[in-house]
Amino acid sequence: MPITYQKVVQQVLNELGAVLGATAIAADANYVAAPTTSTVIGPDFTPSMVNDAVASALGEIVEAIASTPHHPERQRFADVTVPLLNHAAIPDVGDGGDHIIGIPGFVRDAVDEEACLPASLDAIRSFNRFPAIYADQDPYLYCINGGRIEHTRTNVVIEVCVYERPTTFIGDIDLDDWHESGLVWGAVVKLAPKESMFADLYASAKVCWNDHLTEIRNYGNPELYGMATAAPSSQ
Amino acid sequence: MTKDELVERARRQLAAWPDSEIDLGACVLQAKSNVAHVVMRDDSRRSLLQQDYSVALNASGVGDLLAATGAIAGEILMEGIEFGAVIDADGNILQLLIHYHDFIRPQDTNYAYCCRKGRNMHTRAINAQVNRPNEIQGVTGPITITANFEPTSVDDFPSELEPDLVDALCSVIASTNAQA
Repeated sequence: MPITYQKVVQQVLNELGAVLGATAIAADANYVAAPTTSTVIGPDFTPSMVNDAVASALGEIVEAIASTPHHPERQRFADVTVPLLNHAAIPDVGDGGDHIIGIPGFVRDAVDEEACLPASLDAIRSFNRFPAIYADQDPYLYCINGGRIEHTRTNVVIEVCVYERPTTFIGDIDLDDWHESGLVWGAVVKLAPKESMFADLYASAKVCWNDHLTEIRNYGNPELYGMATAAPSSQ
Repeated sequence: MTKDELVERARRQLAAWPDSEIDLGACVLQAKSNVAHVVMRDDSRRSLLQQDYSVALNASGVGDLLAATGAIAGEILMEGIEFGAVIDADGNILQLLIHYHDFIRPQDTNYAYCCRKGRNMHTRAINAQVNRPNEIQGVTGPITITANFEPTSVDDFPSELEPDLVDALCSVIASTNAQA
């Protein structure tokens, strides 16, 4: 079952002691209801504030996934660039128009989809400057040089992750279920400093939040995740 | 075997470095040349890289060897002409004279002759007495030269020579690295 904004927001409000209700019945009713200003103890932690905190935590989780080369959840945010000629500037948005985040995935030929291998800039420039030397040779190589890509194909596309901040906080969150607690701790970390009485809560939430981000980034460690699964372009 | 396949075989044999595809590709020229010359000097395999070249002659009976065209694209090997035959348009077999001073002095008129000078093939007609250079008459062109050559494309090397090509490419790379 996917995690929902409502569930996460309610858990954050609960951690912050902001669920309104003098009795168990009233508190539970407010906890399971859609969060509104009528279901929380204001004014420190209102639903809108929590929504923004959840959005911030969500952005950091997605960034951690997108910055981790072998992470299986990269596919959830996957897009490709438009076809790129040699020397083309790497765009900051994907083919679908969303902003590119994290590190690029594998680079492939735009036509036959063969993966390109990373090579030195020197090798690629040699191939492109002296085509007669390499006549009849058909290498699939690329090099990212600053904000540009140089390669030995006609056009390549780069598999990338894209992300845009949510504009509504209704329905499912586009993350795997196991991120639910991480999202809660991340949002709590954003909000707890607002009240000095939550210093201990902030400290423990911070530890849990950092552990969650570390766990995400551990997928990038070939010792833990296995080199056999590495994309060709990221070895 | 394609050039890509040749490079890949050498890469695997050498367990080569990441950028080696380009490095090896740039050395294929030397490997092809090495194999072509070795084969030319090998009695048992010479014919594998021999073909007929048609060479047009000018009014003096001189033809440009480097402009010669064969069925398979490739560079004629000058030394390889010595291992083949030269035949004029009348069907006469020309005797190859290695030294130009032999070519311009009196010779047995029962034969037609040819001699390389620079990048050109000079010819001398049969049944024509020559006592001095300006008396030389060329043969009827074009002449057909069976000669060894170096194919332009790796694809045109006979499959029997593929192991030699791979070994030659590995040797070129190995010697390059040894010098570095």
